Amino acid sequence: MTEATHNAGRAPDRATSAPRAEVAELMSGGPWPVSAARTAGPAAAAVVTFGASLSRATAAAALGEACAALDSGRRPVVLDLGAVHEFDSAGIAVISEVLRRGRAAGIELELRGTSAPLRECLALLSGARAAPAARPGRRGPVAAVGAAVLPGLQGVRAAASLLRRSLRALLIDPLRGRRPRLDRCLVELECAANGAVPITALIALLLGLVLAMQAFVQLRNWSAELLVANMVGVAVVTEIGPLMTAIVLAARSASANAAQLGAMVVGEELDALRQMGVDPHRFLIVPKVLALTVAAVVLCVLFDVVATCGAACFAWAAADIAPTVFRAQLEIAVSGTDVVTGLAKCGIFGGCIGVIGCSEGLRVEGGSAGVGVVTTRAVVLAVLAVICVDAAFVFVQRLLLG
Amino acid sequence: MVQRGFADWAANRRSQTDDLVRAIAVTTTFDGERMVLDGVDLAARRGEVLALMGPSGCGKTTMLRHLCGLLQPTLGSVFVCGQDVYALPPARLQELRLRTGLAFQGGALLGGLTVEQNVALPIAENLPQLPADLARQMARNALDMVGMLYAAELMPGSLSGGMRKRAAIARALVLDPEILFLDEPTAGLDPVSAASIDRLVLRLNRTFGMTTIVVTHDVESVRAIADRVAVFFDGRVAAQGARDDVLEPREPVDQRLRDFLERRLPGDAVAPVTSAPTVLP
Repeated sequence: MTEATHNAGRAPDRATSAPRAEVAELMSGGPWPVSAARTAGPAAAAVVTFGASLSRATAAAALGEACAALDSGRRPVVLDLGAVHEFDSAGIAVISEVLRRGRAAGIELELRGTSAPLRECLALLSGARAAPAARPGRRGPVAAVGAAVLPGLQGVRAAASLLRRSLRALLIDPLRGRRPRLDRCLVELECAANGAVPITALIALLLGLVLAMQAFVQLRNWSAELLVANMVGVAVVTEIGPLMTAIVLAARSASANAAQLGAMVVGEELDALRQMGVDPHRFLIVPKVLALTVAAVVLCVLFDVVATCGAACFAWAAADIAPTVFRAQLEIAVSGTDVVTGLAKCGIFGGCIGVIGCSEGLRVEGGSAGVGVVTTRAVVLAVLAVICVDAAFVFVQRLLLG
Repeated sequence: MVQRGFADWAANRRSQTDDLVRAIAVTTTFDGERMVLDGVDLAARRGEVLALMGPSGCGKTTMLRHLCGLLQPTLGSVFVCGQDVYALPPARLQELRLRTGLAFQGGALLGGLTVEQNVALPIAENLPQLPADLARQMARNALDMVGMLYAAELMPGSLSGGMRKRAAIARALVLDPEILFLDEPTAGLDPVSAASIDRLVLRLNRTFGMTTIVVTHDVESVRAIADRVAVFFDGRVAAQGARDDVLEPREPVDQRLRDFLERRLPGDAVAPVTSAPTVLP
């Protein structure tokens, strides 16, 4: 005999798990298709002889030996299992993995000496066991672009649809006697606005101090320290106040709304509402959007006041600008239009945040993991939308006002 | 006395080792007052299928959680593989848990992983020395055994109830447990899917000699798979023994037990509840 013999997995140590079965008798053959290439001549065969234990402890070594036989070029490759006295899932996996690789490479394989218990276990595996795992086909460039762009477009479409329905619920439905649920709106307003007061006030105070400090350093070069009030006032009221308020709301409320609605979708609560004849849009979404719009305006007022107070404190302490002087400068620099525009802008930001948070929450897929995905996406999209709307707002404003 | 005491201890010890799972006087109260289990004694022998059955809310699943080491009873002891589960240090308890597999009622598959990754997770965490190819093949073999190989790449969110249960059984099987715990494996399934799960449980038990403890309220399922049965009522074991002795008792038994086994409504002494349509006037 010129058979190349590999002694696979002959490590004497016992398996760490209890053996699944003791071999009662040794029998050749098995449920696996025995190759017709047996007749090609045993002289060229590579025989892998497995040891008494084919288990977790010996599986890696056994697989290595068997793969070496597959790579040896000798055909057919015979897996001699006659000595196997104990085996576990890892051992079964060795056999099926070798068969899978052999089939994938077109190598003839033969199982020899499989015991009855081993055959019973192998019989639990289907014929598909040795087939290579199906891999998703490669996407073409057009499909790849589509796969990247389409979810975004679907998100925009969903948000636009939600915005349309919300506007209709707020503007048209009341004329038909279907007012928004004010009780739900108050609950949502408390969640969105009341909880955000401390963080908004703190950010406003610190930003007011920082802005005043930076402005003071620059204006001092031209002995124009008094203009700190003008600079901070205009910046806060027209841009920083609405933007920062919106970002705080996006971080707090867009995520909360997306997570809440996502969990409700996963838990079939929205279906239950529908089944009960309750319109989820009117019951859940319109109050959230309305509450966020109002909360944005209220918080923006708070932000503007606290930030200018912070700047005034700095100006008084560092630049010796009295609060009355600071206020007089503010009144010169900031017009009523600036204030109204800033607040209106912030209200629109709030509405956008509400719509995006809710629409993302309703788009959840794939159980609890999907809730995390839509929550993250809601925050990112809400911040992005706020910046885009702000840019568009300023562009239109400058176009109209010159 | 000493001799007798030692003999008792030895007998008790022997019985503990003969019984792979044993619960002694397990009592559980929730919120300090609501009694869910009341002094339950239970034993599962090596290689048998033990069915815990009873109506909803009778304490079956709580009992299963005690047996798995997930919930410590208020009083009493649980022995698994001869070890007092709730007296073990955390590391030993973890080792013991690896000798058992549990398939939750809803599957409890992790939503962010594919079915195959769910099944492979215990291998990756507990057998890091295995090559990745081998670990993957083990997971695929486990899925194959439960007829779920075709769904290996799917996400749990896209699975039906029956598929989830099968995937959960595959995950429970993948580390070669000595004891398999199944919580309501056929609940909510159509009769064909339920029968296929029953056949799978039976096949796994017969092939691997795996001790299997099944919680169910499905009498037909118990008839199909169980060697022994324990019937729970109001937190107590109303009957325990060989399947046929419990399901078809020759001696008079508690009326509620008889009603439950014959699927009769309480007080309805004549017509068993069947699936035949009722024609209303």
